[in-house]
Amino acid sequence: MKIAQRALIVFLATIFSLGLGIATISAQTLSAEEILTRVDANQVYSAIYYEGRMEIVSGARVKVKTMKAWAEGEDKAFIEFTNPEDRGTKMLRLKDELWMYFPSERDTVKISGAMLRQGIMGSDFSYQDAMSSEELSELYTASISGSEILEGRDCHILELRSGASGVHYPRRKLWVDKEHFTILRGELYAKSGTLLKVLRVLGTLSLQGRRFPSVVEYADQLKKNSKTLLTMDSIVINPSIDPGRFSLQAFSR
Amino acid sequence: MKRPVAFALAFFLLAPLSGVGAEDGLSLSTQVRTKASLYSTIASPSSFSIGSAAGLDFLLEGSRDRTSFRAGARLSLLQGNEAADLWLALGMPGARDDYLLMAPVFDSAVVTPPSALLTLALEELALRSYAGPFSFEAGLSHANWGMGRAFSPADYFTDIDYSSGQPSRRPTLLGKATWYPGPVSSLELVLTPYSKFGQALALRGYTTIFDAVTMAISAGLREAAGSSAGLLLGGVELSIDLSYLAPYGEAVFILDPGKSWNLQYSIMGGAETRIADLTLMGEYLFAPRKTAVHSIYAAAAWKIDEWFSLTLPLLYIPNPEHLSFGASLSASGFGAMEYRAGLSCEKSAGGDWLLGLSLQASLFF
Repeated sequence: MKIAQRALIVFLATIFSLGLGIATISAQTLSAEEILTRVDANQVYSAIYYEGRMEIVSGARVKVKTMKAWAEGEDKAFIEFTNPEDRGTKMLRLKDELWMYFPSERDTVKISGAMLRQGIMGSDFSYQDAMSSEELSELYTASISGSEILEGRDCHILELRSGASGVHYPRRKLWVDKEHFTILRGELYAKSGTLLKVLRVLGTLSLQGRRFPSVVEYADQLKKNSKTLLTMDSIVINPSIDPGRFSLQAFSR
Repeated sequence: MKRPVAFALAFFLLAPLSGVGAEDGLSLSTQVRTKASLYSTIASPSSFSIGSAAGLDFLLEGSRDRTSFRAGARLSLLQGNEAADLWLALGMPGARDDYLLMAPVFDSAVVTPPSALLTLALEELALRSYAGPFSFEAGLSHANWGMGRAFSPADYFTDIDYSSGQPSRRPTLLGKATWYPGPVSSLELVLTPYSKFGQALALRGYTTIFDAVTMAISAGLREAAGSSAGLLLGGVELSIDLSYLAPYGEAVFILDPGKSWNLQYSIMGGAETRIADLTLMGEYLFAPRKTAVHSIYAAAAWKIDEWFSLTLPLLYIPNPEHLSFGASLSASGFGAMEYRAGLSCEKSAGGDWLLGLSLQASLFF
């Protein structure tokens, strides 16, 4: 019996090692573009709904905001804040346009030009960050600059560059988990080379065969001791969303 | 019985029949407010007065399927100069007169204000529904037409209140039907059956062009005292979204067919810009047939950090002369608390200067 058990353990260990070996070889032979495509496959969805909690940290002070969010494709997103101070405040994103609704006066405001670079509700996420959901592989040219163990995970280090106009971060440096193809860390740079933001993925969820980042931390490097933690709960990938959700009509519902 | 009271009762009798609020889409938001203030005349001999205000704001929201409602009320207990301020304001033309409760009851013959005043006012009471691209609303709510924040002649139905230093539109009884032919375009019909401006019916088309231009055109009818035919209303609104500057404007005309097509018009122009954490905005209203022909509002808002912000508003009307400006420091995000310290300076038509200092704390839950 013991021999049989031992044989089974050896067999499973061999399969597991073989699997890891295959995976590692496979990952090592992937090009930067292929890695980025796999990252996109994890992160990009046709539609999503989630309930989120945003903790905005500045030094020792913490501000908490909660929200419900809907998104469809690359161009449509809708957020409704649910914490008491901001309850009923809504945001609608349609392509490059962003609209906000303030319930106390039923006021709809189109967020314009310079305002888009500001943090959403005081967070480290800018309106532009919220508006960027394009596939990275479509925007950037990638190259592998090395490997590194990050928080116990073996990662590719990718250098991404884009010369396209309208890209908010022309250069990115990403640490991509070699096994799950999730971004564990990202550094977002301006064209001048200034480090603007650092993002860390602190938690992922397995959803419909993909590893989805569910806890993300953004730190605006131009602010002192500032970071924002976004935790997504009740995530539903590809839900059925009423088309009216992505129109100004949703503000008046 | 005042119309808002009658409306409120009718609303709450009818709402259960439609099943609104019968499921878990029901929420109550509450805000507790406290304020202490000190006013002083600058002229010699100077005099001081102090006051306080405590209040409770309720907002009840419910939804079921495609129907929802919002009911908001504000209960305030004012003392000292806070009570006196409201008492004096109630005697002014165009003052708000839709309080559900006021103790003691306002009497314009009583010149000396009471030392304490209890008020209950409806802030919102509206029933909404939607079907496909159509939305409907009835009740005490806002039409929110126009691009202006401090002045908005294109909002035919609404008064703007400047008493807090920050312009805010007052709610009005209305019925509204809106068609959304596209995500950011709408055609809206608004009827105000009981407005102090007169019963009005108007239609407004609103759309965005080339992503950067927002525009609206409106037309309507309004009853008017002394005019058998009523007034014809027309307006154009435009807002341009540039990278660092957002200019906007409104032009409105009012024609009186009963008085040889007498024309009144108002033009408002404004702009907003942002430099780092500083937001600057300014608006100018030209209304040649109104008592105040020229009106200017400007505000600077500086976000010191994520918790503190400073706002500097200014309102100037050359004739009859009114100048008010101030500074308001707000602190938010300390749990559910929000704090505000304000300093205001006001010059009345009589040339007297009044200095005000206020401290306010609000708790949201």
